[in-house]
Amino acid sequence: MTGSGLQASACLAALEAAGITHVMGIPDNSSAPLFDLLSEHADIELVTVSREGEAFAIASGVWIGGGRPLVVIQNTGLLESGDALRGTAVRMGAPLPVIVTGRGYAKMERAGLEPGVELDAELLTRPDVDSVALLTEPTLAAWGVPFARASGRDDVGLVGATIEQARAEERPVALVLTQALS
Amino acid sequence: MRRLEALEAIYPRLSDCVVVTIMGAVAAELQSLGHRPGFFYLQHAMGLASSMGLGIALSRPDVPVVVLDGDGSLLMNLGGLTTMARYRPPNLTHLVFDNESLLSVGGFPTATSTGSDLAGVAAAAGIPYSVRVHELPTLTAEFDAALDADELRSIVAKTEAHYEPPAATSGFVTDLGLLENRFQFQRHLASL
Repeated sequence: MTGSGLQASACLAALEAAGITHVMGIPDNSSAPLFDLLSEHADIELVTVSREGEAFAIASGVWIGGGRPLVVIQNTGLLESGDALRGTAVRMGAPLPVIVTGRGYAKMERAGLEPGVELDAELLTRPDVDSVALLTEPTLAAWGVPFARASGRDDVGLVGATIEQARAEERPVALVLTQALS
Repeated sequence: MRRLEALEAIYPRLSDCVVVTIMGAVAAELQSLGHRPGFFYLQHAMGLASSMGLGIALSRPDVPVVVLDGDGSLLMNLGGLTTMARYRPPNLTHLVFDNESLLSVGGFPTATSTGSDLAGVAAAAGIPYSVRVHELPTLTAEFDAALDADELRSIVAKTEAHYEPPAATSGFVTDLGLLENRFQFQRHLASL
């Protein structure tokens, strides 16, 4: 990942505009600038979890209690979270926006591969490809979670759009960041 | 001590709280005592009742929140104890029924049957107060104290591995749909 992705400050402004009250997640190199801003934020409560699956249950509790939560995790943690996501936010119909930082997307691009490429054992074990990037979007699709992909700074509008879609459809909706926040 | 006896003993005090239960027999037994709109039975996501309770407690610090957990469930989410301890909402009480088995699926022993100490794990995770109880009077005293304390507390109640499906329920499940339960629970919370 490079630093040409969304600006963390612009992302935070979108969360503020949408009235997000709590952010659950685990930082990675890509989302660290946003976590830095959130850790000092006066109105948005940051809950750093120990394992990503917790984030979906905590967020579901926050929502049922009247808050407006957001989850921020890496795509590796998303894969770990399958049953937590299914068993809480999806089953409950919780309007939960999820920002997923996309480890491996740069490698995938350098390898000339696109998300959605047909998977096989050879591709999933190639040393020049991080398999988590290959699996992220097919997994979201398989789980019935709508998603969009944000690549650069011009895509900041997708943050608010993702939140709006989650609320309108009353279910989790993901925004996959293919580059690190700057 | 049987879990149903324990639930009967604490049931009167639950009227002042909202309650999140794990899936399975605990939920069915609680419902058999009389459903209340402040009861939410998590029917999926084994292990995550405590995390959901944490979320409710954080978003509604004015409402006492009780999580009814089990040893098999908590063993699936030990990291959740560290998150609870980190944010330690004072309005959250975590009650774990430890029958040392996965009773709902045949009684296979859990790690607590070979010595894993959940109260000790909770303490080591940083829960401000944790205690293991074996007798009903001690449980009710600790539970009352937890509700009256302005502090996150974890109580591990050692119970018999015994379950008789309540007549009003279907085995190990409640007869309340998750979405219906969610709407009802959410409206109840909003009314408080």
